Amino acid sequence: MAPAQSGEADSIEALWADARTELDAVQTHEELEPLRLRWLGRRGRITLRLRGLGELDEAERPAAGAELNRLKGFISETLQMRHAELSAPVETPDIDVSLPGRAVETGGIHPCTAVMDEVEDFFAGLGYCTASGPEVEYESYNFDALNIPEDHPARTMHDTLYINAPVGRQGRQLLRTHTSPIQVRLLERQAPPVYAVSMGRTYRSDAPDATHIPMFHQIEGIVVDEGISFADLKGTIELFLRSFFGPDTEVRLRPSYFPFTEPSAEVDVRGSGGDWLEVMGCGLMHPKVLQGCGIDSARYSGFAFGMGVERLTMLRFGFADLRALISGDIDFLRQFR
Amino acid sequence: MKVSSAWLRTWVPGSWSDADLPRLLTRSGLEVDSVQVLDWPGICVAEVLEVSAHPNADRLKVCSVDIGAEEPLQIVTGAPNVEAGARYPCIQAGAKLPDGTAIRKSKLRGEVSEGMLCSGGELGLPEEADEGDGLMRLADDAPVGMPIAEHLGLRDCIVDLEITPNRGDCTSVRGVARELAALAGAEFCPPEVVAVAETLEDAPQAIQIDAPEGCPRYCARLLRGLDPSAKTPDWMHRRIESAGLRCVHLAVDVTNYVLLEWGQPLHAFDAAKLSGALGVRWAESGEKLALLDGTEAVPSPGLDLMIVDGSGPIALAGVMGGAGTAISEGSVDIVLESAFFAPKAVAGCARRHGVHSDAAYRFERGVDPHLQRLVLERASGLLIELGGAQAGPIVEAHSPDHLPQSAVIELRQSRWNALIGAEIASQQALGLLEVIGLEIAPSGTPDSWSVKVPSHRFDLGCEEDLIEEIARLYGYERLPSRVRTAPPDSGIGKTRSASHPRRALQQQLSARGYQEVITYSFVAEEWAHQAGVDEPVRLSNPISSQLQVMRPTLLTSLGQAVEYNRARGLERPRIYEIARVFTAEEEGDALPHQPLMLGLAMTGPRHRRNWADPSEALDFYDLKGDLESLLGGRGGRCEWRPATLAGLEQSAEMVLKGTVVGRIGRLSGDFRLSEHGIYAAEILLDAVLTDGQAGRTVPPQIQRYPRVQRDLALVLPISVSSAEVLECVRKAAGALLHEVQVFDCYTNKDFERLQQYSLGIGLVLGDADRTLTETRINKCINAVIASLQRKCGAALRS
Repeated sequence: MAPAQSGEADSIEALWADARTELDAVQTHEELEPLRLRWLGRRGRITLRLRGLGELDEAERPAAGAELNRLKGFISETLQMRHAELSAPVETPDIDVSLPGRAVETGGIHPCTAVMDEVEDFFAGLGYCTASGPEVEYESYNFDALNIPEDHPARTMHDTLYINAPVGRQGRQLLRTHTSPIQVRLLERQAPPVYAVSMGRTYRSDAPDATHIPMFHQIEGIVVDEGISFADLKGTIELFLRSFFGPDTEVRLRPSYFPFTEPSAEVDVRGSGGDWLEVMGCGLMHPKVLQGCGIDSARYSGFAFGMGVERLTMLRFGFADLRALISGDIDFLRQFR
Repeated sequence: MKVSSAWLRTWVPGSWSDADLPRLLTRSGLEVDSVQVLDWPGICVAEVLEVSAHPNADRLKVCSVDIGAEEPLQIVTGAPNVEAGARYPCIQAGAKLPDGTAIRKSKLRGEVSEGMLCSGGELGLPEEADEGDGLMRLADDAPVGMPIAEHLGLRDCIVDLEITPNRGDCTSVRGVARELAALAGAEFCPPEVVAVAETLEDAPQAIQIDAPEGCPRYCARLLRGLDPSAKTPDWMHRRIESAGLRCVHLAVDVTNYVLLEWGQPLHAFDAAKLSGALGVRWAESGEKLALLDGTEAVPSPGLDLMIVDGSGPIALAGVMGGAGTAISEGSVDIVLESAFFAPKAVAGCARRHGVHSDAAYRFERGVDPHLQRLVLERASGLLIELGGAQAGPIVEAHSPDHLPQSAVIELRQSRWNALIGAEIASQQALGLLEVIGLEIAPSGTPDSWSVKVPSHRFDLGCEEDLIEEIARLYGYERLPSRVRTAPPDSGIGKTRSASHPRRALQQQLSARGYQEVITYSFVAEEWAHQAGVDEPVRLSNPISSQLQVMRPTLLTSLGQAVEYNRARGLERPRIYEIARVFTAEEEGDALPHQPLMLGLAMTGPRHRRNWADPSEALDFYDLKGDLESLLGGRGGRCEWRPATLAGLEQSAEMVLKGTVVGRIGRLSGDFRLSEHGIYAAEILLDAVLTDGQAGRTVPPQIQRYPRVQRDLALVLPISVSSAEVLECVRKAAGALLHEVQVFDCYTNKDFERLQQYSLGIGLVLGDADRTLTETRINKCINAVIASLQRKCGAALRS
């Protein structure tokens, strides 16, 4: 078929109709390329008509150009579609999809880390910041600043590991027996209001057994602000424990004693067996501790709480032997993922 | 401390029940460790109706036993003294003996036995209750079927209390009873103690106190004519044993009984073994003292408080008596000591000598400084009544200046309301304090009172202490709950920890197959030496020789953990730990340098065993690759500098911005024996933590123009490291270079002979602003080649 070269140009409708007819008529793959050349090639019908646009009145030109381009787009899309339809299917080898994949083993974080992160997140939500401090600490921070003087019977509660180092103004060096020295360091450098948690390794001179390990983790929280009361402490602890152990957790505060808090309380949650399980200690900060950090205890009050990470982990997961946590046993730790 | 409910009931007669006791004491702040109810269910008074011979055993008898039930039980017994018509305690099958032994229905040589007739010993009673080795015979009119505990008057409830160090006043029946009375709203009724008749004129010689700061009060009394055969009565025996103490001898038992009752330790000396006047002074050098427990103490001069007589030291004051003056079976005349020793004097001494006695336990927590005479009268009364002794006058020495003074504290209602966070009316709050013996007087202002603390509550020293008492007695459970969130100016962000970048790092480590572990911060000293640290941070009192220094490196601990897991059959353990390491500071008493490190260790094959991947042992580059990924954008700037490091081979230091931040290599020494070798690295945690966008100068943008890749095969002198080559490429290629890859590293005999090797590098080039033309690409590549030739002696491989 010879393309129309001159004379009366076909109407655009006629072009559409021709193009549709030809495209529909294609039966084989081989017919596609000649069809493309016939319409879209350098001397193709559309190409020629586009070239001829210049001869039209300026007013008609844009509309005619747009219509031709629409047709051009239609033809090339349809060609592609027909190309896909008519192409011979590619031979793809069968595979055994049931074979295992090239899986990479994943690792995991330690359950104590997971618990500490969760607690940090809870308190971050209340606007608390996170502080840290050294593990080898001075006696003054670990004991004296916390109202635990040398001869205080409370020091017998901490079987302390001491460092063989020169004794200076700050007393002997030791492995911190709790995370409380972090609060002292924080209060020394930051004026109230202070809302903070801190966590990390702590040490006591216990021979390892199922319920004692000489290295363990604590989480500590402190708040120092104007008008902080025991009620603020109680509500915060209850909210936290219900977040951690579940919304229906029964929480009990009972009077206790810590040299650095006054009043002091131990906190229990009701276990599934109905018995009360001790989870943390807390209290209003002792005025001597605040004063020692240079804080006016008549204007500011505060509370502090501290808990054992291993204990929380044990209560949540119900395993029996603390030593497993520091065994480095991958098979054991993997079960917490 | 164990305390008997039956004993408490004699002090607090009210309407409380045994079931209330643990709850009430817990509310008062006395932690209840355990509760032991002595009511022995299933054990009752039984009458043996009939005794017949056992058909199959000569020593056994078959009894028909009436326990007050419809049908008598058949019980087989081996007891020689069983008699028809007599009454004995009987435990039914299904019940437990006081020691926990369960009794079951069983057949003994073919005869059914539905329970057991009991001896006193089986009920946990003193052996005297038994007739030889037989059953405990009860009175013939003992009511059949009555629970045995009730019949014997033994029903009791023993509560084991954990006493916090501030509550020395609660280490006695008196103290616990006072708390109980306050919490139960019952009356506190101490037994009346009257001064005994002084029927002797003898008294110990005047007491010389040379250490009034350690012993502000010392009382003593001579008692003569104690009947050596006098026995401690059952009721006292039971109470002493209920507290977990053993009974020894009437005089000692009486001192223990009074100690338990009043919390004031007493000591009894055998008067016949004393010589000269009693005195209290600090230890002198060269002294020794054989103690009651069989050990010998060498007192610390000037630190340990000693009781002495004319012959020298006779007791470690408040801690333990000496063996030489101790009461024995035949003691007839005794000197009773009742003193107030300062907590400080006793605590140090007990700790130094590792001696923990009931007396030291109480003195170091503090005893009531005004109780000594009263308790001496109480003990004397008991010894006169039970042992037929005669008493002389009490001799007392004291130093009022050194006795603790009762505090008078100002208490304000505004303060207690503010700290407790609840409005508690003054009448109610003050009433609570009065119940526990505090004296309240108006102080002149309407909102404030003056509170006088009784001598037994020496722990109360400031207003907050009193407020704690109000809150505690009011009941923590009745207080409101509130939650405060931090105000905007509380510094969040200022002290925000590295927690978030650390967590991102840990997620990456998990995805790469590493399991986090936690291992001891203390290790054996050899480990430090193996890591090249001669003077590690040492513990003065390590738990064991294997845990005696603070580790200077994580690598050894991780190596051990890897081996542990390999030994348990794990094919390819990969672990990491984030922890501090410790290096001693040279200057004075400065704390050790204790930075947080990330340590990693791995061994085994590169891939988990599977059908698709070859089985290859992992090597240095597996670990290095992981570290490079963790370092993220900074990986390219980290220099891996070959270094000889203790405990490592194939080792390198990691250098960032001129500072050594970590090290990597294969563990050497004992670890070399490991089948695949253990590769390990540690790096300063701060160096791996990416602080999100910190340090970025250009905002992130989409690259609009495609990248192109050009490969170069180079021949290089072996003296030139790949790092130098890459550095040279980076400099020469300039801004167009996106990435440079090393796709091949090769050598053969010919290369070796020429001291050369071959390196294939791929350059990925791109331009953010326009498409790269062939001309620009070639210009860049030519510059790179020229630079490599000039600086690295490289040649293009033909």
